[in-house]
Amino acid sequence: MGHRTLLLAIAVGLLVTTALGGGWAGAGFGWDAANAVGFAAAALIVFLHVETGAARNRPAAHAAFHSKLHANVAALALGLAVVHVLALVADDRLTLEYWKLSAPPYMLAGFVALFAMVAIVASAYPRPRRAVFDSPQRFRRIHGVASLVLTALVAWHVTGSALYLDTRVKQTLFVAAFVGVPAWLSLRPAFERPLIDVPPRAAGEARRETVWIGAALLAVAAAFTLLRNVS
Amino acid sequence: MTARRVVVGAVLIALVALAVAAGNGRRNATETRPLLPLTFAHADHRSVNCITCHHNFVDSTGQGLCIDCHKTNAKVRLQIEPMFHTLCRGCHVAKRTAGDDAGPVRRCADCHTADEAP
Repeated sequence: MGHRTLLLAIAVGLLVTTALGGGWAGAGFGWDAANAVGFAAAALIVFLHVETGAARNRPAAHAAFHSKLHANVAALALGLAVVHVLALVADDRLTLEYWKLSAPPYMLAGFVALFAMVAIVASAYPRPRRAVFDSPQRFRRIHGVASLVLTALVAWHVTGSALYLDTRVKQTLFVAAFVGVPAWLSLRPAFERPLIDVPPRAAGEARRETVWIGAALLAVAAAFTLLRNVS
Repeated sequence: MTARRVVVGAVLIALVALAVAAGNGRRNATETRPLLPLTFAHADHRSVNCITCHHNFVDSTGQGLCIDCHKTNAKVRLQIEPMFHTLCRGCHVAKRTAGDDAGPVRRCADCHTADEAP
């Protein structure tokens, strides 16, 4: 499967889950758009668990593209998560109440996830990575486990807020896909994991591909927002 | 033991201490935070059975205003946010999903504003 198909399948799959069995209530353009951007960031997190950027059995020239793509998509996911938070504040200043310690646990989980994401992304760049981790193996192990914890925190945040995932069935499906698939992948040796099928591309093309991914996800988010509020 | 391990250990201890402090801080913050302003029009809710909200009319759990218990009783005061949001928002979402007129479903400021209606 190509990575574009995979990514769109994840993004659309997450959003379709929210539409199962009714519960199709729009929360207003501002709220739905901000949350759709949050879902886009969540889709990218799942994508990053599949497109790990690991060299595995790829030729070095091809592996560099995947490594760059993983790093760029992670930065994009972090950016979208920040936009998700700021867009909600811009639309509704009272959401600042959710920045306080008195906020519900699922909102605090979202904030912890955001800070964890900053730490995970920042510590993966070469200089901080070499400063923090004493071996590539240790980096991969800790980076992988921390990413799984981050994914679980995001799942708590999304299911706890419960506007789109308003039934146990939806919440179970979401958690099974969102946390279950990455957890299952993490138990498989690297050589057994699905290899994203991409024609050989230079590392420099990763940035252009990231722009395409960002644009495609924002288009899906816009469609989600329109469908919720126009229907 | 390398210096790096000492640093990692110190960071882990600091994180645990931070989590414990945050847990205590959260309890204090939840108990002491003032209630947000709230608008509620009984006139818009005449189709709803009174005891849907005023459960104390029939279950003898208390008297007076909602916040007399929900903000002060140790058993429920930490649950005030999910309890009221589930009650109000849950009903609004169900009605909107059914295609009926409904109140706000999410945007905070639509409900949390100074009361204007009786």
